[in-house]
Amino acid sequence: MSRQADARFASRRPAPPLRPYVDRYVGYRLDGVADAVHRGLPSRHLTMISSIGAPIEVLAQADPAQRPDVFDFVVAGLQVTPALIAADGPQEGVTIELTPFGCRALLGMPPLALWNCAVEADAVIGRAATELHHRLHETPRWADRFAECDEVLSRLLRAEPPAVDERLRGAWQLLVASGGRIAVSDLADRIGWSRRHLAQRFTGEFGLSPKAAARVLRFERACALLRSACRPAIADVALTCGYYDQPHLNRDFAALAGCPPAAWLATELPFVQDSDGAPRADSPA
Amino acid sequence: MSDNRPAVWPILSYTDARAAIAFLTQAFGFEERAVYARDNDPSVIEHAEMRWPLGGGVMFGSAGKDDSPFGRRLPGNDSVYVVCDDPDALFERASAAGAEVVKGLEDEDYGSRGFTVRDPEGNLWSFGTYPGE
Repeated sequence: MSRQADARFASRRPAPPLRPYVDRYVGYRLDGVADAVHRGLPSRHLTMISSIGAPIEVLAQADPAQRPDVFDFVVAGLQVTPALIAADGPQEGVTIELTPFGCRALLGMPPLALWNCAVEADAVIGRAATELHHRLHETPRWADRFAECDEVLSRLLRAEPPAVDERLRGAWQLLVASGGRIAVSDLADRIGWSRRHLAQRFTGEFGLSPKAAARVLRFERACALLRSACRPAIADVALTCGYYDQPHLNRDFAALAGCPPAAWLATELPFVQDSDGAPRADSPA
Repeated sequence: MSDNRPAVWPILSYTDARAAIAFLTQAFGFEERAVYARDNDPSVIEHAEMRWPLGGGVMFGSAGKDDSPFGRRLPGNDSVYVVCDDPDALFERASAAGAEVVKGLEDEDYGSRGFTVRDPEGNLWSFGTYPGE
């Protein structure tokens, strides 16, 4: 089947019933660069990535205890360290950005169960994974591929998605809304729990502590600003995102990305999607 | 949906408590009520509460999570009896999820129909229609 030459990157929000559970679909098509490595960075999402063509070769897992592996359709849990993915050949695929609530509603398990690990999707959602992977192969246009995602994920959506404790849901949403800038003690006060109770229940649901989640959210925002079209200075990004100063941002980068911000930008620029410049797949491709 | 406030709680311990939450949910249909994990090491479950849809439930934490007599217990030595409505369907579900069958579906002379399986860490789970006297 000849592939229509539409955009290298495309993204779309899912169908409305899926929106509490999936933030976005992102399609990518990359040529690859000799010896290049892509960093799968910590974020607020669990990610499902279905490859089209060459499989996804994970050179280093977020959890060093998990061995390198190759996936057709990977589900990666929340994490606080990067995964390294081979990017030396042509790559194409669709990333599904799952919210922690989507983990329960679509995958039938709490994010804790997938914390810091990567698994083949069929181990989690069975034949739906094989089916979607196959359909994405057969469908050349981004818009149609995203429609296939809508179709298969809607079937996974349970009639009554398992409820997440309202206070845990609220705590996650407050953290996200603040860009990770709310203090954990303020968060505990807002929720009406002690810090310790909040920390243990939060970790029991999401797999990471509120403090670690705040760190990931600040980092995610810093990454988005750094690669945005206006390319602000790193020191300005640090202040905007709630870091005490630029060395603090550098320190978080070392831990969460495994390299300094400038090095990440230099190696990732061929691969990152400008959040503003991305062609939209919901316009006919 | 009888008893919302059970007054007796079996307490177990698991080496991989995170896997136990998944297993009890998938294999038997327990419902997770609350999970407390250690905030700097989420593999350590401090406390988990799983409810049984017909009433009651179990509690457990990670084996070796602390130095208390509970934390030091060796996992895999407990047994729990659970009342169920449809032992045939449950037996199929549990075996499909990989529970090791210890005693297959049987009708007992006291009128109960049920079975016994072992969970991945060795605890025995008996299910039957006998609801107690």
